[in-house]
Amino acid sequence: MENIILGLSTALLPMNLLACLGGVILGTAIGVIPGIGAMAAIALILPLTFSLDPTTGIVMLAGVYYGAEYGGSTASILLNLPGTPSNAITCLDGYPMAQQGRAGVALFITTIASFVGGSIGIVVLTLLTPVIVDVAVAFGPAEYFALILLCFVAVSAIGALDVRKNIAMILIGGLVSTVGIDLYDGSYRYTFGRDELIDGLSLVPVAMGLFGLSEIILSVRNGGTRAKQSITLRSMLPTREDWRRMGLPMLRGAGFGCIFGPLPGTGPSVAALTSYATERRVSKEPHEFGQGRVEGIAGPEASNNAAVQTAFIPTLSLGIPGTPTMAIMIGALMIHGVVPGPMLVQNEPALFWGLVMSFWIGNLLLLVLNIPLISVWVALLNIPYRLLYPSIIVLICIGSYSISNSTFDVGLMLGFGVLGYVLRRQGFAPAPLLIGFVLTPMLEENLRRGWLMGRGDPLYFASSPMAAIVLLMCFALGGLALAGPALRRRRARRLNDIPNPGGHA
Amino acid sequence: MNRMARYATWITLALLGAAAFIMALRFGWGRGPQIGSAPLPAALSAGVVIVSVLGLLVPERGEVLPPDWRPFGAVVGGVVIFILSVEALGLVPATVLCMAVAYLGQSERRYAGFLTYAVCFAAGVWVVFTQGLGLPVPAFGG
Repeated sequence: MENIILGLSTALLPMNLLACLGGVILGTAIGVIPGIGAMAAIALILPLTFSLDPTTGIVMLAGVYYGAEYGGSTASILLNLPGTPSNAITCLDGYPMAQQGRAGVALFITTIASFVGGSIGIVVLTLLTPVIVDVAVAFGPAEYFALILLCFVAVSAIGALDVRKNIAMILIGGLVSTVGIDLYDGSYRYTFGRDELIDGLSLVPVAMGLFGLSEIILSVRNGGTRAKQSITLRSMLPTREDWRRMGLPMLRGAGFGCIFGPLPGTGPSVAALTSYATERRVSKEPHEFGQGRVEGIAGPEASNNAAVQTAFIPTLSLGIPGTPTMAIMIGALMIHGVVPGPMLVQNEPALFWGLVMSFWIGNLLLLVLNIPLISVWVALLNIPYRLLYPSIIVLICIGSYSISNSTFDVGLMLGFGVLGYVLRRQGFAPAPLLIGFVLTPMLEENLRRGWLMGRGDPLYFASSPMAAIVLLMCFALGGLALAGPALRRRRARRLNDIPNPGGHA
Repeated sequence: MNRMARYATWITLALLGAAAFIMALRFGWGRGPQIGSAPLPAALSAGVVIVSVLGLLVPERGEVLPPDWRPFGAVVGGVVIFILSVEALGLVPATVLCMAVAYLGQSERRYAGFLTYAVCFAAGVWVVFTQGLGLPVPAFGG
């Protein structure tokens, strides 16, 4: 209880309240713009937080994160253009509702479901994090090494694209992270004689390029589609039947969000997808899904927002991000001089509990602001994209420049933007690259410490039950991912071999 | 085209991995139970080569899309202009030039209105970043 009071006293400080409000509004405004997801939104706003106190900066970035997730659903519903993969599920029933003239109701349900899911996620975060921290305090290099490895395997295996491509991206991200001086033996790795590379590559240009610039290039062509919509407060009110239909899906969705949010490699997208699939399965009219069912929005939106909140559990308690967005958050914490992990909760309770309480306030702000502000977001959607995207490019350039007041970082951002664009066109996802970039330094540090503690014995990394179990999980998940395509092919062949009972070809 | 683009991507990755591996061999390998700076980059780059070879050997599904040159060129050109001009000409001209070049990425041509918007936006950017957040770039001049 005293932690909650401490958190509230931190979160309610005027500066933190202002940061939370600013973050939520900016995040929603950026999230509304089609093609710009939460990751790009955080990368865009990150340089603005450099001059802020660490707690205030992180509170603002967290606000940007869940604001952008919420904003993404607005574009999904009104334009059928999702900002994030998790919002893509909202398109399935949200856009048909908008076409039926029920866009306001769909947006209202999104707001309510986001609030319910987010709130349940925060309760789970509040209850679970201290328990994990108590266990994690005893973790050594072996456990951390195994957990980071699990994160890599999960991101490779669970990602929607080709496993080989995901592995290649993680490895390249890891390689990029090794650029700079090695603090253990002082040798320069891949610096090519450039002084700017000695300290390594900063997260901001890498993230801004991979997610911001490359998304802009991709969306220049199709970002211009706009549909004139006008939403009044009255048109947003759901019917009694709508209220009845959205209750249970929201709770189930929040449950899925709480399960998938903290798991590495899954996050909001898998949670939303599972929630949608479940709602369709339990429905008496599954054929109506995709034609504007309330449950098809309420469940995924609640799960999405619950996952957003619970994704902070491993990030804050272990210092290990489960999703690329959390990888950016970890980078942001480190830029602010805050090292995430069990010690953060123990040594800086004001920051940790302040952040958790700011989640509550941010969710409440989303609820209070977004119902009356919905017409503003709709108006933002009507701003021609030909004006928006050049402005965003300038903000990305200035954000990169502000890191060290050098055009080198802008060039670096451009390089990663081009890389991200080319790779996306080739079917590679840039998110695993970022995970590799953020986690490889931690992996190397724990590998070195563990190797030293085990006196060069590799079995040290499986010496504790926890590490051994996690390593076994890595092998099992990795094996499944590699064998998956072959198993699917074999099953398809077997299905083809079954004779057709109708006798038709 | 699809197959060629795929091969080209994996071959490029394999070559980059091989180059990184050769460079990693020159880093320190460590002594006794102390791991040097070479093993991890060497392992990662070797991994890139192995995965790329697998990518070349085992066919994959999915479509490879060629680059959309117009938005690509305009956005990249805009950023390059910003890099070249921000310290030489100042924040306002760099912003306007960057936006003007990036604007060429789409098909609409309403330059007068857009340039007015770009100048206003540049002034706003200067107020927020230089005046408000202390970015050490003047509005005009290097």
